[in-house]
Amino acid sequence: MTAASIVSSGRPLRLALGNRRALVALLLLAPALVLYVALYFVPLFDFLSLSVVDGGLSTAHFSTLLDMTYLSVLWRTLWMSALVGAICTALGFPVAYLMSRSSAIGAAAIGACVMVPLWTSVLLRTYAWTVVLQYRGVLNDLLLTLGLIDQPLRFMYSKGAVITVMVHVLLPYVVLPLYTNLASIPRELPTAARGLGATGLRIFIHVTLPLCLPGVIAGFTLVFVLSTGFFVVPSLVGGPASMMVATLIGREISENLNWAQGAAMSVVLLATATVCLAMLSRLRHMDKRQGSAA
Amino acid sequence: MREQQLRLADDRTARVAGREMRVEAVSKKFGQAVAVDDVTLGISAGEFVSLLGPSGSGKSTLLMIIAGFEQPDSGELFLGGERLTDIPPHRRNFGHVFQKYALFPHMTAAENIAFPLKMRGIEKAKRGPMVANALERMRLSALGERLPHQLSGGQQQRVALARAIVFQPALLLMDEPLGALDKKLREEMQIEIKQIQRELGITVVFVTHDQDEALSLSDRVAVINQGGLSQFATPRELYDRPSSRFVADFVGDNNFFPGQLIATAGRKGQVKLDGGKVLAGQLPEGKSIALGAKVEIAVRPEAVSLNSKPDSRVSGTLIDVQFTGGTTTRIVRHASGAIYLSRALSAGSHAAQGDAVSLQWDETSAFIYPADGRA
Ligand SMILES: Nc1ncnc2c1ncn2[C@@H]1O[C@H](COP(=O)(O)OP(=O)(O)O)[C@@H](O)[C@H]1O
Ligand SMILES: [Mg+2]
Repeated sequence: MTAASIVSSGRPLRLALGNRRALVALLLLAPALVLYVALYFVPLFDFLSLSVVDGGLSTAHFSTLLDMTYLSVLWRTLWMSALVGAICTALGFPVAYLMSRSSAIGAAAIGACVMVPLWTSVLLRTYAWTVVLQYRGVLNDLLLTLGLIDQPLRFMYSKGAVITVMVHVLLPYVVLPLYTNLASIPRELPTAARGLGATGLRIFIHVTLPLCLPGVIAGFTLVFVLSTGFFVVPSLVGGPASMMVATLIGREISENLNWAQGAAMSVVLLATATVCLAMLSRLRHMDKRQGSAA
Repeated sequence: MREQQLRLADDRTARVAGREMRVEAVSKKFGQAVAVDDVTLGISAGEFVSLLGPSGSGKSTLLMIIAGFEQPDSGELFLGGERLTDIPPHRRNFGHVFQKYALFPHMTAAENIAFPLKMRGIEKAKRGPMVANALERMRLSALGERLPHQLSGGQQQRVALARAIVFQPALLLMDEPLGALDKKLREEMQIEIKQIQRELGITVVFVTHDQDEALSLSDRVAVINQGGLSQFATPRELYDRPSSRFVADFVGDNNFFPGQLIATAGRKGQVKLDGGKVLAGQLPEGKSIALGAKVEIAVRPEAVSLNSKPDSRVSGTLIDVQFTGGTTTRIVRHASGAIYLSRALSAGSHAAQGDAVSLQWDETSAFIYPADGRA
């Protein structure tokens, strides 16, 4: 209900109309909302509430987090997720840019290449990477054959391995929002910039980049958030030194059977991720000027 | 201060704008389609030239070639004797105004105008006054901090124009810049553009499909048809002495009478109309038409008067009288179904609707063109 419509005449009618619209909207939303609440929010809340129950209400599970390796693992999760986000953005940008510059068929072809990996399960792709990265794996074979190394290297169970595989898995999530953004920049803007005396690099810096900043932030945010909760990849190709929070939570629950402790870890992860998300979203809306970019 | 700026503008004008732009035998194809067909144009320094033609005739492509955004397949461009063909657009120092304005949405009006100065390495302290000056000239001083989407269409247009002239370009290129504006605003902007062009002594190439716009603004008009240059002349010449059937038809209204050329004597020709009547007219300059060739006689509606007594000349029935402010147009239908126009300043003939009338004109206002000739 807008201020204008309340102020204007025929107020009861308009209010009634507004209510009816809201009702229709609610009805349309209802199925999804019920599913969400029943299958997601209720179990989530149920699980998270375990963290504050220890006999009675207690913060014991949270204070133990301070003594544990938890904080260092959380910190590692955050910076590794940020790094994965940054690498994905850097790698995805040229792909998205090329897509936006291609013909419709070209863009569809590149888009398909980007999307196809999404149809294979993460588990499968991660196992494929272990074949590549392991001690007697494809990569070491290749480097040995080329004579670049004399001894096989240990790629597996390192941060590098985790980051590499996560970048591979998450790349599509940054390409698509970026492409949408880049494609919405009117063609005549770079042309105009060129006519006004700008060279390729300066067109990019002064026109293209500022106009696709929302897409960059959206893509980065998506990858970052997905990364903070990644379980399969760090568990399979990572080791103790590259452990991420999700793996720690999983171990707490399935090995130590300490659900309450796992729940406390989850609460902190969720809160941290939410704060990061809020900060990124602020960044995105800080520049009000983007309003008319598309 | 102002004098100083004017002097600066004068110096620059003498240095960069005082050069002739030459387009020599330029052609451009897209696949099999010829967009620009062997066009040669000489545009004098300080001249306002319009490229006029129907939609799809290749005006924009020609302008993009002059700007450097498109490369010609053949032909050359020269600016004051300097070969321009291989110089990229960002080094040509031309100003552009596009139909959709192409303002940068993330920059304020002032930042948009400062952009070309920034790209030319002009330091911030010097940019300020130049931008302020450009804003003032376009009556935008109060709107410098607005973003493009906070401006009206006309204001955006003025920002685009300010951005295109702030760096004293050697040539100002405009592609249907007023196409998106309503009639009143368009006429205001036309006056404004013309005034700025005169003040700055800037050379302008202006693309339009609107003949009134082209005729009223330009020193000379280049009429483009199917990629080729039909005629390059002053608005007066274009109207009074169209060089082809196409120009005679495209610029202003015209009556056409098809027939066959049966005799010539110097610049005069005799044409036997399809109905059998024989009429005289002027033959086009510098072009000879073979006897017996299919031709058309063109007579402007203003040159046609109506005679209530049908006689040996072309005749028909007066079917409508339209009063359009300053002039009155009478519409005559020939027995063949062809429609002819007669236009007079005053009320003119007393013939009434439904009357049989005959058309008469002075043979010096009748022009003979080869039928269907493109050039
Ligand atoms: N980039 C392009 N690719 C293919 N054909 C084009 C391109 N640009 C213009 N054309 C074609 O060239 C012709 C001239 O177009 P244009 O210069 O835009 O005409 P105008 O500006 O007079 O309307 C048209 O037939 C158009 O379809
Ligand atoms: Mg055009």
